[in-house]
Amino acid sequence: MTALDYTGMAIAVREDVGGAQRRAWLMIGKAGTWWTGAERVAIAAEVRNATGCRLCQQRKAALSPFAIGGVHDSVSDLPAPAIDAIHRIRTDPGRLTRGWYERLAEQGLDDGEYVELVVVLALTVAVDTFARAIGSEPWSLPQSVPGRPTRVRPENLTDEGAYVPTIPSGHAGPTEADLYNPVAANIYRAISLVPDQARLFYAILGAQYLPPALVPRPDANDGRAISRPQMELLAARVSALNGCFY
Amino acid sequence: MDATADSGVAGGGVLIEFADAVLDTDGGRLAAARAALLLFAGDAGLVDSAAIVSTFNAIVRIADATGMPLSDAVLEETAEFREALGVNGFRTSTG
Repeated sequence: MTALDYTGMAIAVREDVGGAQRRAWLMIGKAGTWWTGAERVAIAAEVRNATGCRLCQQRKAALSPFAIGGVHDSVSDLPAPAIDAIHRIRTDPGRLTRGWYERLAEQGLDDGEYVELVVVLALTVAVDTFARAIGSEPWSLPQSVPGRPTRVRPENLTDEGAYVPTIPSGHAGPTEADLYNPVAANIYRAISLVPDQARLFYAILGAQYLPPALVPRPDANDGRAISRPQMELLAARVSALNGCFY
Repeated sequence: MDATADSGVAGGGVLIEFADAVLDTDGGRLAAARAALLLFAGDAGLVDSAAIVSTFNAIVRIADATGMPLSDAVLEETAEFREALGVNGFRTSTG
């Protein structure tokens, strides 16, 4: 499928869902905060490629993924630590460790580059998984657009115990205040090192799950066709299948 | 995991099989799970279920990749059922 929509489907997809996905997909092709548009498209391509990587399959089957050495089957010229990050996060996210992340940093993967990579990966996974779930062909990768990363690092970053620095609730500056309002859930703060990228993911989250203000209300489903308990059952099942430590 | 266990949620078995099938590689299994979900919840229910599955297939990767810890407030709110489930006995990955 080349068109970035679901108009050819027998079922109707909510426009807010398709619109949020389309905007995020096009933004993948543009320069971000730490990566160029071409590099971001390469990240998305590597995300798709990782599921067929022989090394990842061997590691997934191993008692410890860190016991298996080798080289990833790669389709990009991204730096080696970026490729390892993409492949492991895509194929075996439940067994990532702080020590592994610190080794990536020692190999030169900057924390801002890493967080932006994680967001591009998450956007790609969200869009691709949705397409597969409803029976659609995956969208073509976006065209990259020339441009330079802004390399803007927000103020008030703190060690809150995550692998990467984050902006604590109550400490957001004027350029990040819209993301907090005035507090932000953990998953929002986790990617606060790259606010512009976080906004892309929040838009998908709001359309596909719930707007942030409704999440704490156990009866809220924002008019979805399934109930909140049904939504949470699906969420819990997917988390368990992925071995999410959360 | 036992996909046949009763979750107590209406249509729980259909929903769980759909989630399992989306994350599986078997196209035939997914087609059957999608058809069952369509019967149970209709077009809009399929779309909203797909939206949740795809969103959380991404969220878990953000959570795991960033190592973001639970906040003190969440730890306090969940203390009783974490104890009941034995979650507190799990060892945190540090390797």
